[in-house]
Amino acid sequence: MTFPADLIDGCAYHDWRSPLDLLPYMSPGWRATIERRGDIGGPMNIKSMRRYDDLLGRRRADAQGGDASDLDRLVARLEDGGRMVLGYDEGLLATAYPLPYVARQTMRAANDWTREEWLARDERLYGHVLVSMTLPEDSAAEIRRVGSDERMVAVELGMNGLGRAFGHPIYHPVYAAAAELGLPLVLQATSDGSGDTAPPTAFGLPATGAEYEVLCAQGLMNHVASMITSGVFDLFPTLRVLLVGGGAAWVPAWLWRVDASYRTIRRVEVPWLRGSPSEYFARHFRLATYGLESPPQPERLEAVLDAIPSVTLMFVYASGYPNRAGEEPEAVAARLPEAWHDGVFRANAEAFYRWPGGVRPAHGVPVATDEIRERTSAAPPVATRRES
Amino acid sequence: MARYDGPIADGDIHHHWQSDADVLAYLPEFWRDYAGSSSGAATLGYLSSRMLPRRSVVGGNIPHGSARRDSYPAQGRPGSSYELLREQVLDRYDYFRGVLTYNVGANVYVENPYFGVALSRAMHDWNADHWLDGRDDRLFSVVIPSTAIPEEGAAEIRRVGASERIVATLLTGNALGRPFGDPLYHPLYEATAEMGLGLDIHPGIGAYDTFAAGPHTSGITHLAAFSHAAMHHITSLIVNGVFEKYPTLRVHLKEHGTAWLPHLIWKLDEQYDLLRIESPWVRRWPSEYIHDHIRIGTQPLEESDDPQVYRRLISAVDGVEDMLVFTSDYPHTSSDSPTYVAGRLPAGWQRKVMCDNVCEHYGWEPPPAGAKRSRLEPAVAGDG
Repeated sequence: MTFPADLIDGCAYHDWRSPLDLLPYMSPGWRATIERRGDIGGPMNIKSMRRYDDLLGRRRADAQGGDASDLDRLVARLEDGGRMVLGYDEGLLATAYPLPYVARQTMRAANDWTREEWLARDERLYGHVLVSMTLPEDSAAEIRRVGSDERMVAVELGMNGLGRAFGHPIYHPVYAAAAELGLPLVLQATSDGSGDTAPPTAFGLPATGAEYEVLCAQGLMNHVASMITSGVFDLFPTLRVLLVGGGAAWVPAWLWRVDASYRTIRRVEVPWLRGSPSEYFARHFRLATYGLESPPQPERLEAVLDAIPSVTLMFVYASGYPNRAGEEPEAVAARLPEAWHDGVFRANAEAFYRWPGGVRPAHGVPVATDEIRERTSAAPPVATRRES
Repeated sequence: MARYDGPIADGDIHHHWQSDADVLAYLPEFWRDYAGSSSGAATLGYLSSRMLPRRSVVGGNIPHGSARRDSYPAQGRPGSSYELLREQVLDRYDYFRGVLTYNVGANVYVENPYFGVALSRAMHDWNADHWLDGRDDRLFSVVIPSTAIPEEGAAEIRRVGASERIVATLLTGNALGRPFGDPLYHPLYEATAEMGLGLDIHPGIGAYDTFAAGPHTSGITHLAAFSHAAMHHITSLIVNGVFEKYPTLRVHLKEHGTAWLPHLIWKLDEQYDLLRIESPWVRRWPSEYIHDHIRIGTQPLEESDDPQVYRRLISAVDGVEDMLVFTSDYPHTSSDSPTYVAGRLPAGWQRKVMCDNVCEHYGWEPPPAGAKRSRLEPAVAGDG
């Protein structure tokens, strides 16, 4: 098959080679602190440590160490009419730096660095506003500061440094700012994978990197359910979220289970919800192909993915370049039905991101907190139970 | 869908004592005093019992105390009346056998690990006297060992597991906060393999339970995340080489759901190269270990609007009809009746899932095909 020249790569990764790259965008005080060569013989490390090493190498074999920092190699992948959205994976680790002032400084510097040194140099590139979830108010201000730049098409949520799933009200200022600017959210599966975040898995820490890679979608699952049940999409009805790196075959099982619990206990806990969690998922979530499962019998993947609501609108091609787990469009196309292809490689990303010049989604009318409060005291619906 | 009228074997029936005092009677005097030293503790309700670990309140904050409304006997707690169990489950359907699994036995994982060991012994002795005393030859049960002191747990498996009525070791809490492949737990598996028992895993409640991305804020997400435990335990058992170390071990995970299996199996096999580097004792494809060693309880069977959608999804796993085993989870609110489960399965799988796979896991000879009622005669004591 041939790919459209206007293919959209919904998430490739860029990264700074060294903290020194960001210094021009930092305050004089932090510049002095970070560049000082102390016992470690180099600049201060501004990223928190990844909990699990990938012993096979996180980057592709043909991508040299600095490839995520090599603009020329990155854009060589694009046709003239193509577009590529730059996200962070290693850079994400900076958002959970335990001293939050470092995280705040890095987030601001990274956003300016992306605009000046990447987006300004190739018009086919677009960026994420990187935010730190440990500093929701500062992050909301950062979204308002750089989110009006038309080339910034989404907000990338930082790592889970507070150890609370992302529906928690502490984060709502971030969502309010994103909704105000019409920016969607991007959530990486690695958001719980550093030593300074909540455990990435249930029931204890993984012992090995393989165990972590297999299970890293568990954080995504809980963030999704937390955002839905905490009323994030009732408060911010235009908000949408792209899930990156955790695969997709878990979605039917997760939604069936959450829906079933919802039917049993919604009236006790979440009377403000206006439909089942799977309906919210279909409206507000999208799945990136980076990390998509790769069974030996590709047709079985379709059998599983078919159970995802609104599946033809769901997938956004994301190369994950230059990571080893990243995939060229051909590899993704080979295991998804042809009827989905236009959506996956172009249309779904077109509809998801806040592109320049396009019509920005209406802001919608946030449901007032008062109304949620009022709804909690409304007469509960009658519970139904399956006849045995 | 053809109606299934064959025999039923059930791997998860939650039985219970009428009041905590029933089990307290089996404790040594020291622990009886300890348990009762807060006045009235023995008669307190589910959440505040002295005999249960204190954990996040969200998981227990479910209407009706998580039991079916019709399962409350005139006296005592749901699951505590044999007569009601017989009426609502054993005789209502064509039950061949069922495994009693306590409600849910997390008492063993109270914060004081020594009290937990004593409680586990008392529970097992109470069980032998009240349920496994020959009153019904269809009833079998489990041993719930301490996971906080694995050596004590292993000793209890050897003490109780000799009874022909005990068919599995059941873990319902990881008191050391480690997924179940961790070497700290291997003494339990050694004893289980030695006694020829199955190894069952059930979601429990424990003060040490942690969750991906932080604590749950609602029962909705908490219940759904039971599946995370199963996925992590299976991965951990493989990564740590438990099936190479104990090649006869058969593991049955119940009440974690089923539809996450394709995702887990594909993700595991995709990481084979990394597994070989980090865990060189992993000698086979993870999917092969899972097919040969892992059984998945059907409850709660995922409720796709169209049953065909579920059947198509779960069929993505080769041989999954050999891996699913029927579990009812009676008397809990989320329990599944045999009629419901059999009706959601392809006709060719029904006999396996509803009976034969369960029998295989617990080491039973399945009833002959074609017998109209699997239990023709009244109960005979000791006929196991």
